Amino acid sequence: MNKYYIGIDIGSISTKAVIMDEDKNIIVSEYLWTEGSPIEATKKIISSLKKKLDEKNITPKIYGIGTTGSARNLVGNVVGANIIKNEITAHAIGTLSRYKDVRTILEIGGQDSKIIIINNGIVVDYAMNTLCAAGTGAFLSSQAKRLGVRIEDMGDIALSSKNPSKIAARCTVFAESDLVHKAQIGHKKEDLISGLCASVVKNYLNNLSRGKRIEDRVVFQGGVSKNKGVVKAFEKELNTRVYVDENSHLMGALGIAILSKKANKEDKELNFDFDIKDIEFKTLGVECNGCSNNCEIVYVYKNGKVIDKIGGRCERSNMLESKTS
Amino acid sequence: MKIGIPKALYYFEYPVLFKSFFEELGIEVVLSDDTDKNIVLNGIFKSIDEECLASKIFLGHIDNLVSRMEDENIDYIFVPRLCTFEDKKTICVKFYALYDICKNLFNARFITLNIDYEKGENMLKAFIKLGKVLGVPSYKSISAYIKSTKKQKDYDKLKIINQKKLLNSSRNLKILIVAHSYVYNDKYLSYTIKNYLKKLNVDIFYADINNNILKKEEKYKNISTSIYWKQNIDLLNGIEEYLKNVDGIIYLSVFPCGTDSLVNELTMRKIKDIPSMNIVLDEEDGNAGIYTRIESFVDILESRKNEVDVI
Repeated sequence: MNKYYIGIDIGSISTKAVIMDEDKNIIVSEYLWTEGSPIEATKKIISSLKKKLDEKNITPKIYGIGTTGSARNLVGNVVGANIIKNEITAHAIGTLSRYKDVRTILEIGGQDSKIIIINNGIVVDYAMNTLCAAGTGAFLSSQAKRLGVRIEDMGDIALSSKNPSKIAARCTVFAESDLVHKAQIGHKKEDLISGLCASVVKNYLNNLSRGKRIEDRVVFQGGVSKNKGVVKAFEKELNTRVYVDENSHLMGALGIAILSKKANKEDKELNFDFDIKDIEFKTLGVECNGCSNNCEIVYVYKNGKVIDKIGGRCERSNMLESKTS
Repeated sequence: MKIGIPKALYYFEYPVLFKSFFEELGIEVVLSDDTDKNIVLNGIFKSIDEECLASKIFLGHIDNLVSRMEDENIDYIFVPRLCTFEDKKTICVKFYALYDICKNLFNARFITLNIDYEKGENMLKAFIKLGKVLGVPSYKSISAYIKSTKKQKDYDKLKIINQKKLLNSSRNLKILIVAHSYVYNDKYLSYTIKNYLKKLNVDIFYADINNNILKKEEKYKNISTSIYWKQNIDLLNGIEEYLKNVDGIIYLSVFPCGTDSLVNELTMRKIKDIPSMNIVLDEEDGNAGIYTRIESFVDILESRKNEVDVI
């Protein structure tokens, strides 16, 4: 009987999940929108994975479940994960499993962007942009809307440009007014879009790669890596080939699945129920009144029973348990 | 007589000196409460936007003392003016202004101590003057000053001895925290971070607790010779001292700290062979981003230390 491992990456915008076998091959995978409800998204994604397994006639024995991404703690408790890890480590490991010689991982997601530097298979440095929306997917999608093109088409349109416009790259606000100005003086749409892609890249490099050496091999992932215009702009700016994996969006989920395999040291089968959609999960935010900090504590209920609490600055919040359960 | 000392900013650098000076003179000392959300919010309310979070919190502590003044019969609130020190060292200008800001903002009785070496106001002189305001003859102030300075020195020595002991015996990951004492000692500001690091089995060391407490070494000149902020010099001395013995450095500052934004940036560019991370604390309550960054930082340190392949 084969052993299988589940990795779930619950981001702010999208939720990704994979089931891999012992040799780190992805057996089935799924990608859907989080839509502000990580528990619902998890239920959906698990039942969809199950369906895909059924189609392949696989009844899996689960030996590991890992969660990563911004909702990792909540969902980790819901599914009973044996490992919960941050997305930086997960992404690095996922990518390393595909490209052993990777030195630089560029990642641009919907809300944030990261750069991860790897040396001899070890993450040695990273930077994360969380404050500034410039140079993220959200900026590209809002500009696509302004120009009346679909975000999926942006890459191809950008590639068709022969004379890209120069768009200010320092800040979204300036980039946007620059874009409007260039459009009004008659720049072609494809030139503008190509310019936008270049400005995202310049912004990313300005913000994140300061003082870091970007060395081959460079792998680019995250939602924006699907945009060929941005890939080309990176290649031009870095003067090197930039690799984009066909499963680039699944690297976090794959990474955490690999970690869950490592975390299961006793190699025991986990008690995991695919019929998670029938279980009722509820969360309840409570204000701890232990002191004037009034920390918000979130309780996670499984069929009416408290299975975990998240939040709180100090131990005092533990005393709440008896009151709420 | 009773004097109130706010538990913020300078208090954490001289937790013994001021308190014991007053106590030597037979004056009772009360401290403001530990920082909590109320104190932070009141401080923010009293401050202008551009001030740094630590000085906003300071005003919250003053507010806390002022509100207790009547009930607890506090005669004065003690707010020193710290300006210039020996060797032409100085301090962030907000420390120059604290006393005047408090006098203007609050309708309460304040008492100050003016330390300004450039203008000839050295420690001893300043304390004698302070004694005079309290109606104490000079000889009593001098003796109280000598005793309390010794107590403060002993306290500092104990800190460094304990830190060195931990450094020698620790088998865990070791992280050097480069932060002002009023940032890493403040419960509200740093509790979550310190607690989370402990949960990850990390031993924490503080840059400002270093050999210069025992004797002048001034190793900071390897990093920069032109820097003149006393508190940042203390931190740079610590970085130079611990660099070889720790696994990583976390620079921890409050938004928008002027001196740190310059010195930390400069230091991070000059010291390259060690993983380092810069965390800037602000008024926001959310900790999710900080947890993610610390966890991945500790992951990096661990894999570097054990030289293990991550897969």
